[in-house]
Amino acid sequence: MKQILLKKNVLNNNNEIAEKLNNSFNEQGTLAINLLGSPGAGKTSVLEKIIAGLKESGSLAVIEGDLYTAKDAERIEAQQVPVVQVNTGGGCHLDAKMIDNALEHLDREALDLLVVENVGNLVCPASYNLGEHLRVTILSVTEGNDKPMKYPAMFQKSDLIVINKIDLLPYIDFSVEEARKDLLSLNDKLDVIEVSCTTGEGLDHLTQYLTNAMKKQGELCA
Amino acid sequence: MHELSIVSQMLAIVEENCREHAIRQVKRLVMAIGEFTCVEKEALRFAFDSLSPDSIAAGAELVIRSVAPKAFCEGCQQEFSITFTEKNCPTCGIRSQKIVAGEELHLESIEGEEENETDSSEKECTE
Repeated sequence: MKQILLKKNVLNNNNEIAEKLNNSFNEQGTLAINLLGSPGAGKTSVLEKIIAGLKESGSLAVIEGDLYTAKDAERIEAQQVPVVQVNTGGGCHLDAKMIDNALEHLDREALDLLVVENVGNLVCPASYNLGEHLRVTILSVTEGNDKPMKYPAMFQKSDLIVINKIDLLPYIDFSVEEARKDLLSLNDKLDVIEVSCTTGEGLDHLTQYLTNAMKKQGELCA
Repeated sequence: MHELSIVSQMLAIVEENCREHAIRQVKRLVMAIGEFTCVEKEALRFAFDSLSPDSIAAGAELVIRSVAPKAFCEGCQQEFSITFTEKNCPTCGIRSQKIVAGEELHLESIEGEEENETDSSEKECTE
């Protein structure tokens, strides 16, 4: 009998590709963002609203992930931003290989910012690195206060939480204070920004946050 | 989570290592699964039972070792147990977000019969 001792990460393949991607983003001075959240949280809407502001600070491109349709890519295309739609055909998260393949269709050398909008899902994407620098998770107020604690891994691994649809606060039973408390109990390094795509509140702040991150990445990698 | 996909990738790692180390039949596999990964043990077993019969691990025993989450306190230079929401060092009370255990999805060991094995003496090699 023979025993082989390993400590092999089962997701090693994905992590190796993610690391290669991250290295190439650093070489090119590109900030890569993994945009996460439930279906309907407002990932595409928030992105649509801040794209114009982000474009002022550099060149950007988007990779859209969905099971089916190119509906989200069409919305981004209407903003005159290069976009690639990845359809997983059933897969509930994007992985690093899919990003690597999608980048073949974009001019990656020229990019200051790459936003990858992940499949709507608060579970699986948490485990799959895409080579990103920032994980931005959208949590909409209509999803309820219990979501951070029900999906702790996703929120623990995020860098920025965007609390969306705050214009609806007068009509629903959601406490922003409680949400912030729960979120920070999972990860006390989290930044939290409240926005509304309907009224525009908070979007300038969000744009500024991401623009600062882009500038920092550009300086780091110069 | 993707218990089926995890087992599928795990079996690919097993096949590769068995080729490399001339193992012809796997008898035992040990996995370390961190509690923060939210991988369901029973679902993992179910996936293994479904996929392993067509692999070199057919009939093998799957041992799943759960790894409790821990963080590291820089001030006290010690590891301590944590939960998703409780991450304060028991000694100094300061919170640490430096997670050192609990996020593993590791294949730890493969035990099997070598090709052309004539005796049952155990050999061990480390990667």
